[in-house]
Amino acid sequence: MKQMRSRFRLLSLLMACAFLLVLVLCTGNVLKTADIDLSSLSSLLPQPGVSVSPSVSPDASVSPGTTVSPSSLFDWFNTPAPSESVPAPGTDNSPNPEYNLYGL
Amino acid sequence: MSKTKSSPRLRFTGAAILLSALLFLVPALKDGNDTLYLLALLVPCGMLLAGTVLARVFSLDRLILNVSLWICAVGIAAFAFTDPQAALAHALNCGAGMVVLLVGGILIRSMTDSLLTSVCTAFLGILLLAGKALSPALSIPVTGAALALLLIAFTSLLSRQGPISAAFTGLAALALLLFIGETQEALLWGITLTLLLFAADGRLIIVLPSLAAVLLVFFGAYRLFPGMSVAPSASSLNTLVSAGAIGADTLPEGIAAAENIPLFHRLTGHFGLLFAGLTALLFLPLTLRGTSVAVTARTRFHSSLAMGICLLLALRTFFGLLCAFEVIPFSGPDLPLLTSSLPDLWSQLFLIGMLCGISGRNDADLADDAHLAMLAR
Repeated sequence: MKQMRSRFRLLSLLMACAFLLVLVLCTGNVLKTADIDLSSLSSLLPQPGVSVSPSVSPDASVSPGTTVSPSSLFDWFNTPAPSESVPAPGTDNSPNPEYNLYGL
Repeated sequence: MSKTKSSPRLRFTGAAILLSALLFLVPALKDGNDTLYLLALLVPCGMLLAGTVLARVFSLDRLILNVSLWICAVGIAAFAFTDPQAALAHALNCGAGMVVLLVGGILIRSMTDSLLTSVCTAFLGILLLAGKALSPALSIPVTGAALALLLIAFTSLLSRQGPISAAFTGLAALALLLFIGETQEALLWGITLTLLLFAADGRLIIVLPSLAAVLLVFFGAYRLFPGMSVAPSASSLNTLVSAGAIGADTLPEGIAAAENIPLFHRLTGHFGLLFAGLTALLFLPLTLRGTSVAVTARTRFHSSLAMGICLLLALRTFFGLLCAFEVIPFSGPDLPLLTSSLPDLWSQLFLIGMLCGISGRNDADLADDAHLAMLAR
């Protein structure tokens, strides 16, 4: 009976792991079908030292006014993409010399 | 039960009842349908009655019962948006299923692993499957009920007579399931009996030949009936994903166009993938609680039966989810309790009732032990 109970515990552990694996597989399949890239999800998270507004530095590969996060993610959640506007020169707090008129 | 222990349970039960009321009240306020108002009253009251009063009176496991009630409520809500009359019919089916659950809970407390139990349940289970094989025109699905009876027979034989007689009974049932074309059920049954044999006996001399016999039966069935196969998936994953994260009042075209819409697809279409995923996640505590009931049971029969019930429900959930999300490209079984087939729903509620009854019996045994310990002092 004791051995049976230990095997039952093993089975319950296997079932829990299998369940989580099934959930991960199904979630992965859903994300793949919806063309949602996992790396795009990380871009939604606030990065330390980087502003959320579109980058205005000359090194940025995207032009101001375009969204950084993929539109497919916003479309999928049925929410309109947040309107993003380029901050007026001088109002942004970034120390970028191109827009920092006061040398700060 | 102490006051501090009961309050989280009461909060959980209260939250589940409130949420179930909202599931019907929101569409009722939108459409002004009287049937939805009736459901908004009936379903929470039914959950309150079954989850508190009946659970206390018949000593049923609260967690298993409340999770099952919530899943049934969600299944009823899946009909509510597009077909309130079907939702009411399903609610009545679930209500009658609660009676079946109680029957299972009461029956298991007096059931033992006697030869009479083994013979009667094995006979009835095989009779149901043989009846389906002899009259293919029989459209009533009997597989769920047959598997429930055969599980009782298998575990009774396993605990009393030994693994060999249990294995023979299980293999006979497997062969009959394949003969009548129930390939998915045969697969679930084959895996369940192999795992149960491993768990209850553990000797390689028993487990390996049983596994070989199961594979041989499958191989033989495919050779004898070449046309037998699992049907490919009718609805694609795109239709599920088109429902989005939060769903919509009307079902997406791909889901609505299907002839027989599975309840999980309907649920996803109306409430979205997030809600459907959270509902699927509820099967995890249900299964884990069932396995803990199996581990703490006093007799081999109740222990094996509880584990067998958990295995059947868990495997059905795994296959159902994997097929619904096209990880396995076949048409899968309905998730437990999220089925519109009445015999399947009642057989699953009967199994859950037995699980609750075994848990109640465990609690009674613990109380007896505590009483004896107190007397011995």
